[in-house]
Amino acid sequence: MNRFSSAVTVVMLAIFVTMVAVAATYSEQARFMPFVIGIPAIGLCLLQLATDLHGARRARLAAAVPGPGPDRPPQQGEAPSAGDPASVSWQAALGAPSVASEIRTWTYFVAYIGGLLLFGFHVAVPILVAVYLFVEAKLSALAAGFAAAVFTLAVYLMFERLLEFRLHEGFLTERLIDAFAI
Amino acid sequence: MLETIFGALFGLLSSPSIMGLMLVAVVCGLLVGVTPGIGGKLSIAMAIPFVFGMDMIAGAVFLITLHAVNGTSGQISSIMFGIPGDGDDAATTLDGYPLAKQGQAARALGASITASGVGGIIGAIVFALLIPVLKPIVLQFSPSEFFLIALLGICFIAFLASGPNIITGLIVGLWGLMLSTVGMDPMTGIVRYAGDALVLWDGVSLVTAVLAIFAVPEMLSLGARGTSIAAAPRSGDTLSYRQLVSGMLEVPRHWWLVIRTSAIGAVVGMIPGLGGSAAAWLCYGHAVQSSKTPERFGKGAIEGVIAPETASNAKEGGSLLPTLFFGVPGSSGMAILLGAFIMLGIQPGPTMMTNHLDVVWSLIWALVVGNLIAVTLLLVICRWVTVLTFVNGRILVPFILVFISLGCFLSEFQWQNLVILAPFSLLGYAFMRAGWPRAPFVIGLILGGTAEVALHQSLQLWGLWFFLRPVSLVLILMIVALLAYAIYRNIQTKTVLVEWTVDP
Repeated sequence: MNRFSSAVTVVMLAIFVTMVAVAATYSEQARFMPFVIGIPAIGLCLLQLATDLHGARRARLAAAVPGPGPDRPPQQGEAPSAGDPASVSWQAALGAPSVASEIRTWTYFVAYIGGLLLFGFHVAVPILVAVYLFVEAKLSALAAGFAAAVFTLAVYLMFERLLEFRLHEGFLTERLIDAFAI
Repeated sequence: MLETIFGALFGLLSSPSIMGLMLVAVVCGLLVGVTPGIGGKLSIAMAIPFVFGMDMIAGAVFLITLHAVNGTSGQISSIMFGIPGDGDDAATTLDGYPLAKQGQAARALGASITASGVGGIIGAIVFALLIPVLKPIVLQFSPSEFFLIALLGICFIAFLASGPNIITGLIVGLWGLMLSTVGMDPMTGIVRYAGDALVLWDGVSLVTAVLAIFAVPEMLSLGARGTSIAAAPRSGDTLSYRQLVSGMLEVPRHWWLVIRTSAIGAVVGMIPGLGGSAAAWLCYGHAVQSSKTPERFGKGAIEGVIAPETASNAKEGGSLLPTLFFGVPGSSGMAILLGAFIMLGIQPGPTMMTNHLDVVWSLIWALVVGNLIAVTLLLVICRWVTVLTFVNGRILVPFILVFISLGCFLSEFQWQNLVILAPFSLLGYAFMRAGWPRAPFVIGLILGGTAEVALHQSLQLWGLWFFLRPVSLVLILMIVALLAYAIYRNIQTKTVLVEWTVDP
């Protein structure tokens, strides 16, 4: 079990402890189900942490004894070995993502959600598509801009005109339009 | 009964709008299936905004068709380049790619596409045949059994998806159950965990949670990995229609193998958590074992292409059974599909057999008709569709992200769902990164509400003795046996690891 998995266990433990603590303030009937779920869940998280610690100690001991080295069997959370059928998938062929690329992708995602909330779909969608295609997919500025414009138009026509849904317009868009008297 | 069965078929075929939707679903499903990185999960996630507000049957037929035909085109990259689109297609690579290298790519594709379609149809037939058998069993279930079914479903998926460590799967399942308690308590009316956030009074949006736990992490992972499979070695073979037809004819030539592997695939699909990979590998193994010339396998045996393809598509019919009648999705793709079904107003459970059998039959016919259209279409267009396997994953990321956010917003027309999407996606990504299974989460979330009501009802009806009802006892025994075996397997794995590290 890797360190990242242990960190996830700690997060889950914190979530369950908080939810059980909050449930304790409810009436007896209302807190029944959260207790039925939360208390065993806390127990399982603690058991998992204990297993991780025990596993880490064993691994340290094993490291002190000379072993076969590179042929050790894969553990959960690790990439499968080359002989494993799952490793021939396209994801395996491309390799694991680097932390930097993960952070970059997450930044786009969070910025997009923030943009959606503040400026709505009609502003956030073309910006995300154009910037991402230009910077990450290495398309030319013209191609990225054109794709963004066509896609936004398609989304607008499909959802707002054809299906008559009202998409989120953003909290700031209307104010900005008023402020600049567009 | 016959009226319901054929009424559903007539309803499908006589409605130009539904047939049009099916055709769109087939085309989209095939194109998405052939594009590396976008599996069934993401295709359903992308389709959610389009089905919102649709008629229940039209929307469900669109989604099931889209999901069912995904796998039909997924094997193209396995055969042409030796790189499977997803785990389901990995077994096909073993003999499909050698065939392509021998200049028989079109023959392998013809056989795999036809086998896939036939498998999908037989899977739907197996599901249909099991309905009258299962009906009396499902209708006997009382509230206590439904509570225990929820627990069994979580344990089962946790066991199958977690590998040797079942605890992580159970934690994720309990997290789903815990999240289902958010909102108004069905017994007292007290609002739990929601505070003044009105959007949470009806509970966490299922579509948002499912998109966050499954679709967003997959998409972000695709973005982080990027690139295409353009660097993969190409067979250099051009697809001739003569070879394609000769490949198609291999399927009736091996009809007995096709029926056997379809049945195995459908049964594997019924077991939640096993998925298409298990079905494909199991049937590949079966084809090798039952062959008189097993030495041909791995070098370009056509049976090695037919068996896994039939099985991986036949499992779709089988996995509908636990999904629709128990609310326990057979796979993560089915989990997202189930979330979309609930959004459309389809409530899984025994009422599907009593009140909504027309919907069930419509879905079965959609599988049959969808597969027929998909096979016909793909056999014609497969030589051009292969180009899509070279699409750079990064180009698709912003478009998928937009569809996910649209689905999240439109599921309830609440901007707050977009706020919920971000932290839940982080958790989903963390589960994926840590190698924790995510499927138990959906079962917990979907069955949580039913399980809570069922538990309260059971306690009111029978007190704490509800555990002693015969069917309940059987379910409890299954849960205990499953956990005991998981612990035994965990200890065994650790012993092997220690023996291996200390005593080389």
